[in-house]
Amino acid sequence: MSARPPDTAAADGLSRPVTIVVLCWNRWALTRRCLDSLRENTDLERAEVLVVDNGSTDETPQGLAGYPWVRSIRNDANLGFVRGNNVGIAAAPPGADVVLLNNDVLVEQSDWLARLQECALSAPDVGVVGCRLTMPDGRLLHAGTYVLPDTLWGQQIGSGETEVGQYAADRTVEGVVFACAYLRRELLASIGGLSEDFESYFEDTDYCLRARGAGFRTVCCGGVTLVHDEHGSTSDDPSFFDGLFHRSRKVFEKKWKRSLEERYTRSLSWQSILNFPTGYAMSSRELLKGLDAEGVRTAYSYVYGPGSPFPPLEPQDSGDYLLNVIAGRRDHDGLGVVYAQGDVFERCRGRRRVGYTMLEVDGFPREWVRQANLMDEVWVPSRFNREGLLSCGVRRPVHVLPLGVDVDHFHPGIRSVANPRGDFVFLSNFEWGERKSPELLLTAFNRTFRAKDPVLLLCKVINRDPGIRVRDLVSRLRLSPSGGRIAFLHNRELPYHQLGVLYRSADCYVSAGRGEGWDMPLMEAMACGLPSIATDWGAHTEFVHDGISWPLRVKGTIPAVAKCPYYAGFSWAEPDPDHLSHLLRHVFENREEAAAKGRAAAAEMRERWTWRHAARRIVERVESVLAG
Amino acid sequence: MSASAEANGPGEPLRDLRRRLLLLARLLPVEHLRLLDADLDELEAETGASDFVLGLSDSVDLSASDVETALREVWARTQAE
Repeated sequence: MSARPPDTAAADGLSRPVTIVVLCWNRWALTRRCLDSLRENTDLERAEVLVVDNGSTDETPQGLAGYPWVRSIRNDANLGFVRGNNVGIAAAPPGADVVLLNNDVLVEQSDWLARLQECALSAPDVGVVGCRLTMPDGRLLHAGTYVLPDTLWGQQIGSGETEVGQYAADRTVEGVVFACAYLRRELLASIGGLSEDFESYFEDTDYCLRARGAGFRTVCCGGVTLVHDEHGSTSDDPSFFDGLFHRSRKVFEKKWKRSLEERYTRSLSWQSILNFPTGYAMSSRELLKGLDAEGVRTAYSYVYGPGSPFPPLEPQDSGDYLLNVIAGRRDHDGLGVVYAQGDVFERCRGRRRVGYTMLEVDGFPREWVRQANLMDEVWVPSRFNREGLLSCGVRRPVHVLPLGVDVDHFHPGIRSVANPRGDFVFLSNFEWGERKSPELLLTAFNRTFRAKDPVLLLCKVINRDPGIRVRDLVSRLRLSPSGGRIAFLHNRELPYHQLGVLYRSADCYVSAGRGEGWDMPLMEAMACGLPSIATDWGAHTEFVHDGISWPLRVKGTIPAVAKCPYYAGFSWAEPDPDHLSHLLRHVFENREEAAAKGRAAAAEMRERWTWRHAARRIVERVESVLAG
Repeated sequence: MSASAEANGPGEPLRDLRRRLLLLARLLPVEHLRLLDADLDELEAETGASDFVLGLSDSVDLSASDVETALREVWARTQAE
């Protein structure tokens, strides 16, 4: 049974003809479901569907006879995934691009093909385009792949995460799974079809690496999401799968291990914290991922533990494959970076030693300064901290290397959960303590609004200190029942990849604390496109300005009185409560201006402040250190 | 919320009680009257604050939750107020 191959693309649609190759071997029910979804969601005036039947012995041949709009080719035997797909690629018209589509994929998005093609033709060096894949239960399955030379075990980016709209941008990735892969004709002309060194497995990563060798990028198209109901044709027979998988892995190792290793052009020993819920740990994780993407081979070791200011041993599992591999690498004695509080700098190992730290007040403790002076150089994320170190007597070079934000999980397209009352929601996300001045925010909000106003302050609050009773502290504020309404999300441990939903469910972010070493939640909120009000003092002034936020005036600085011993003798800001009240009211009454600031903030975060930007700045510095 | 509804807020029974007690307490010495007044102030503030501490607990343990679930709980709570 054969349908007419497309020789020209429709004038109003695809700019090139496309052949969609669906390989199948038995399991007609899956193939039928895939074809039905294609028929429902693809303009077949613009593309042809070509089913390659790998010698099915079930009702597939008879079933296909009922699909006259499908062109089909029947192989006499099961040629395997690679050769079967190559039959389809070879049968595509010479001017057509090719989409390889597994028969266990469901297409539920009507513009999927046009978007894939748009992405493929967006630049001459795009060769392969994959897409987001979700599991049937709605969780994310795939947003690209990577493989490390250490293990040669391909990993799917984002797999298992709750779907919140993450990875929505088109991103250059190392590879994509070929459950859905758009192959541009220029690439096919350059490197041909899939490598028949493989029967099944690793052929997709191999193809993407070959494409890169030929000067073509692989892109994961964030605007297309298909459902992959993984039913590999080898999944019924585990021993067959194992044999096939391991044979392919050996072939892959022989072909690619060395070149994967050669992608690392620099190395460093990263001594920090990863697997505790702290700001250093969270940013450490992202910096390591960014450095890996920038070609830096990092080896991680825990810098705290017994004998340090933070004695607990670190849990082994980071929950992230890449980080676990990095943590398992052997340390080396070249460049060592301690990314932690300054009182563990002297634990730094390496021929060249760097201390990377931050603090929320205007100076640094004497012990931190002493240890900083043992380093070859010191890094801080902000000029605010650089001034603090120098004013306290650090004599080593101090460089400003700002942190970043994850724009794959924090962006304006992340899903929101709207509040049914339609309240305008101010959000603040903080750990309860003197530094965050919660009493200032709560009382200012409460007196600025009336209970009947359609506005709410939502505070996501963490308190791990048994000496602090947040309920009592809030009660003592004597907030007026007829004033602005306030709600709390207290001591909730929310998955980091979902936090964007929290921000997107609010209308304005407020960070009215007395001092910040960076203020990651503020940056995340801004990346999500929220307008923000932020104290105009501290490290975050590195990325906050009045074009993208409302700086909150400070009345001056006051002694930093808090439980934290590192603050003793230093100062922090005293935010102006009247100005906070004014800004809260202004944002509430000027929604369009607020939305515009939010959009500008998101754009600036994306363009200047991602973790890749942060990693690149570190790489530049690493090169200088090693050269010096 | 209408003005009358606002007038019948959670602090209203307490304010009624205060009016009646102060009426009865006219015979008390002035210093006792002041003490009673201060106690009632304290009680009123705490009663009013009870609206604000919904969702707060004295526990320092974290409880794991989906963001969406957590938000729906908050919205339901604020809708019920």
